[in-house]
Amino acid sequence: MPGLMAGISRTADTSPDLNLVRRSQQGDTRTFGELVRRHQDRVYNLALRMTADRDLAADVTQDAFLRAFRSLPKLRQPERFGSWLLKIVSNLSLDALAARSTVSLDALMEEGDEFLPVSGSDPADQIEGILSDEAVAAALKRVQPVYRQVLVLRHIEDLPYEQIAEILDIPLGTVKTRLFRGREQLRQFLTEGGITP
Amino acid sequence: MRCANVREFLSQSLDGPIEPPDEAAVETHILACESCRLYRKTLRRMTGALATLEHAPAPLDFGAMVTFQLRRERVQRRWAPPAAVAAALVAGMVLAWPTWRDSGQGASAGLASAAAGLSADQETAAFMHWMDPAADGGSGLGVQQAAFDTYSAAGPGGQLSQLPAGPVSPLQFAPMAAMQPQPVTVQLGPAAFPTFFGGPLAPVQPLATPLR
Repeated sequence: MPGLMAGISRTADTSPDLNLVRRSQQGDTRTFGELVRRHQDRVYNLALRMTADRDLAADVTQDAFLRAFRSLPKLRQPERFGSWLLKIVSNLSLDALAARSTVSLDALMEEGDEFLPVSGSDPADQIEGILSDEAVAAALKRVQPVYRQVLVLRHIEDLPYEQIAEILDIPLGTVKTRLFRGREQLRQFLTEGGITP
Repeated sequence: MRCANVREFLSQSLDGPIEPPDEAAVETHILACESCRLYRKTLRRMTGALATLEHAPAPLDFGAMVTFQLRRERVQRRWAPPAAVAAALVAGMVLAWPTWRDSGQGASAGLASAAAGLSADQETAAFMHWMDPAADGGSGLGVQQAAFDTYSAAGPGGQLSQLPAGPVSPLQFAPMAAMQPQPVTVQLGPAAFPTFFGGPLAPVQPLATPLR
């Protein structure tokens, strides 16, 4: 499965985390600072891919860690800290997008009912040529946030369906549906962006 | 099987194998449908490109920034109850002030005020400002702010004194990212009410117990 990303440890190294989380739950800010440093790259990257704005992503990252610290005493499964943190970041990213635009959070979360039309048999609407980071990031930015969320968690964070369902608090079937629609939108926007022969 | 159904299965196949009966139907369809073959190739390239998007590392030391912010909040919380008690005391003093001054018992305090070059009204205004800067357009942090200012002034290079009263944004924090917060020490005692206790006007001094 593709998805290896340099510089980010995707495998949950929970035991050192667990100690840090438990000490942080006692209100130890210095320990929490260590925990933040362990997760800051991953959290910032997720916020950046969700918001497509570096300043906004930095704000979301800071806010996510502050909220996490305040809510830590209520975290009953310290070993799930990583997923719990991603859930906070993911939700805050959507909030930030809603606050910045005139569109409400409900509208951002709304799933399009229309089924994207299947491209015809014309091979010209398929993606060819070089897929640059810029082109992919630009197309991803245009995908509806509710679908962008699952695309980022699945393909950039390389998380399995089950963990995505847990983070977003949605059924597995919904994860699959959103992934399909997100991929369709991404493909459509890449094609519109001229990634064709 | 129609193209629309096949493409849903192709999307799922990126995440795991398709169940046997469906898998055979999809493969049969793809053998005969060039469009769906290209679709599968496109999906694979596209998701591969997503997965290898350049990783953007955190631009700041969020660990230091968050620790700093949390400690500042803690100082503010810690001083809120004493400040409320002190505010109640001050309110009582202010209400009793005209009677006390007219009775002549305020002479000693008046002398202290005179020594400091303040009129009684100026002294009261200064004291009220010190207790609650927000009341006259100040920073809004009251006693906590005074304590924090002491800490700020003592910070490396005095840069922390440039901080605004509200939450520190990542951009504001950036120039200070290399700095480590120092323990905050403050006191609230007679020295905090200088002329009312007959002492000299003095800033809040760092004292014994560091706040974590």
